[in-house]
Amino acid sequence: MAGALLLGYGSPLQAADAPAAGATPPASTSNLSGATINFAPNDPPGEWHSQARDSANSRYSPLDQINTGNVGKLRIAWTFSDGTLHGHEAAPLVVGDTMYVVTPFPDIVYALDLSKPGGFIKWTFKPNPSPLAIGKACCDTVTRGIVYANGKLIYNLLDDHTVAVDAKTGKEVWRIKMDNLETGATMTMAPFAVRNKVFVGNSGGEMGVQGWIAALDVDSGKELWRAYSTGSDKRVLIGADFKPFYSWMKGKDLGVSTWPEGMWRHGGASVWGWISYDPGTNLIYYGTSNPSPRVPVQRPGYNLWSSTIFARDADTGMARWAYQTTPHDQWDYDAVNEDLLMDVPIHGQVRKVLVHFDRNAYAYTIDRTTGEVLLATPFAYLNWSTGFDLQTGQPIVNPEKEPKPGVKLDNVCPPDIGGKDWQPSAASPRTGLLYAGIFNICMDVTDHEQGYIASTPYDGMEMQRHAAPGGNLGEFMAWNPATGKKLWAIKEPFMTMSGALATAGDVVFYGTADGWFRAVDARSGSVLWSQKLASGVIGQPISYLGPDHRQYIAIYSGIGGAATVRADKSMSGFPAQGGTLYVFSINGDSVGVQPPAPSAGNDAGAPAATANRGTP
Amino acid sequence: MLNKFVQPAFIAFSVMLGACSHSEGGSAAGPPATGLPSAGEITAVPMGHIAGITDSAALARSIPNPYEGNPQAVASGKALYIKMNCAGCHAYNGKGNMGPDLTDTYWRYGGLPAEIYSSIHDGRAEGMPAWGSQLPPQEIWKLVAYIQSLGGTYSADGTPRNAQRAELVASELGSQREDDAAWVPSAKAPPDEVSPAAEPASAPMSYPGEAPPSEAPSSPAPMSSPGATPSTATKPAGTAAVPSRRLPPAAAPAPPPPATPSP
Repeated sequence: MAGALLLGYGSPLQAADAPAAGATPPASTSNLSGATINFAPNDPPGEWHSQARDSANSRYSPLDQINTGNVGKLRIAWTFSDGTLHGHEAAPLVVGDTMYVVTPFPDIVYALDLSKPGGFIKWTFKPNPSPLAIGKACCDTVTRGIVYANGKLIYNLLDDHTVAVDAKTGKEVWRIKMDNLETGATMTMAPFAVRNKVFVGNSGGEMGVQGWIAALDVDSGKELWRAYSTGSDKRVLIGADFKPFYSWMKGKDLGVSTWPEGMWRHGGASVWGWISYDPGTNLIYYGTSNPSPRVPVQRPGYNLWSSTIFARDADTGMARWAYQTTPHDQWDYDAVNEDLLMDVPIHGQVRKVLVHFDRNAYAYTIDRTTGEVLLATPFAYLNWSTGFDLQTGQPIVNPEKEPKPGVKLDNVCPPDIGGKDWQPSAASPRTGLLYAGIFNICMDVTDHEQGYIASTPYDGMEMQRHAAPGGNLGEFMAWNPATGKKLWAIKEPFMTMSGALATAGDVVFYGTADGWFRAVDARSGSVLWSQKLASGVIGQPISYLGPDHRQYIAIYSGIGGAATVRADKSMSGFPAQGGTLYVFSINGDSVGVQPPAPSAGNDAGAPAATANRGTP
Repeated sequence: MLNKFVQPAFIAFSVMLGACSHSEGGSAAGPPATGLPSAGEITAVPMGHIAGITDSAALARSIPNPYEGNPQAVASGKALYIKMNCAGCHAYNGKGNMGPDLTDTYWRYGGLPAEIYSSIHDGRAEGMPAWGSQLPPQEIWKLVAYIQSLGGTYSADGTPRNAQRAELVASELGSQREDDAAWVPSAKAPPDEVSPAAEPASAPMSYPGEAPPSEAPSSPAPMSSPGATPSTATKPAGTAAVPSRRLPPAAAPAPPPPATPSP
């Protein structure tokens, strides 16, 4: 079955090409935006080698056994408790017949044998990171996952090491110290790998760190290049090829001159989000975090290159273009959210774009070859900006929502965690739409001016978050990147802070902070199936094909991270911590569990499963 | 690289301390040094082992905070809590964020005044910086006084500050304590000269950005205030007027603490 799905390098998968092997044809197959996705490089169809699965960052699975017609029969196939609490933000990986999961601190990796019943542990890797890191992580002791490259599992430890583990044996291959806990830096992002390079970055925008991204050799861990987010052009790897689209980002050493003297040294702009890659141009795309301190009056200027999307050459690291989404970021909006690479018809012309849902609540459709903003429209409730100037590429700031030290400013929307945080969206080449969990939250904020003290928060925002108009904290939406418009939305009482998964069965999946995991019709937005999990869901769902050629859906449950905002935590119904992986299949069938006899009616939902341990 | 920033920071801090004394007409800030608990007394207080509720043996060796309940010391401690970035981790209301909640009567390393003092002075393994090399003992005691004012701590006699928790704790410790001959609270009462009433009438110590003593400590002055400016536009690159926490032990105002306890 897996062989029926052929996704070659460089071949765009369009709606008409979408395979429908063995599936009930969906009611509609029309592409709703005209957008397509170039998935190359890509994983085998039934596997999941990186957090986003493909370098376009689509989080799209070409599997379609589970579709809108049968997803209502999704049942738990098996579960796995990893023995840790705190925020479980990572997606599991599936390589061959093995699943790999990583826990929050202490960053344990488990290899689970999918050819045996029930998530059998093959090996466990315990890296023993320093507990000092626990108190340096702003937003819980999370990791956003592993990348598989050339036989190795590569991920970041909270204590600033990147580590590579042999995927077969679970033995450490290399471990490189990338930053210093004494500066308050931690590492939480999921590495991204392409062309035998692995790209990593640091966290600590709240601690006054110096943000950076680096490329390491997959086999040796050797550092190939490192680009800082602030400082001179030399440090930022800006050279002759750097051509930002807008004039206000042109000039020499803007990473120094757009700050009060010397403040770039503790300017934050860490790199803790997602990285995507266009094989056509050999460019990687990623965003930088908020500037430090979070109190804006202390750092007049644009504060480049904080809250900025960068395009860089993957081999040299040299910047090609940059675009600052929130100039002189006053609200901690960052620009670290994912950049989905799509080819989208705009004004009658197909443009190579990246689609970016910024924390500042604008959804951007940006020409990924030049950095020109083609569309910028709000996707969530906002009042910090009164509009967007497409000539300058800048949002128009509402002066009433600019924080002043010592003054309580009520009802600033969105809050620091944005209209959407890091939780990645998904896209389907069948529908041409993006799917994202977003927020409907505001804050009352009081700024306190800050002194820099190494390894303590360089922060200064006193906040109380609360729901925006409507009262719901979360929402799951479908977005048209060609028009910049929302097609449908599902309101959620609690935050919607899980990743999204889109599948060729025209079913999309997401989870909620209060622990519901849902399947939705990708076209209509109808909720087709829901299951309450043990704890809140802030992980990233995936789909894979088991050794039994059966399609599974997997998701971590374990509340934490920035989802434990005070407004949310104080609500009745907010879940307790947990750390359990859930794996679902139609009727809950799985390896080692015999399906019912044909006469019983396979689709009748008869619970005829018989344990058959030992003969998977 | 860190040292480059540390030295100017320490110098700036020393200047501030000097300026502080000067502003008080040359009188020494805080109670006489002899009135403060000695380092040996503090380290003799072991960590509590029941969620911060210390057993009788610990209580027998416990010592009160000479600043407990002193409004000026509490205000000064609150200003320090904001200026030294404590609020960044433990939240402006003390209810925790990156760091633990300081108001809920649950203490990983003990909720007696001396235990809280040690946590601040020595740091703790899960990210709490050690402040003993930067803050003089009386300033740490003022921080402890502010934390005590939040209601989640235990007094040196083991009484929870938080009245709502009193019954629960009483039922956990109960009559056992009263029967314990080793527990003699009066023996540990602070000497008169360091009792809360003995807090000098002088203004609280001024820290960078802190309001003048006559104003509310929670409303920091603008960063442009001369002499109280953390690293901003007017400073050479990398300097920080607020002390960096990595100081040479020899330059510290207090003797360096013993090695940080393991978790």
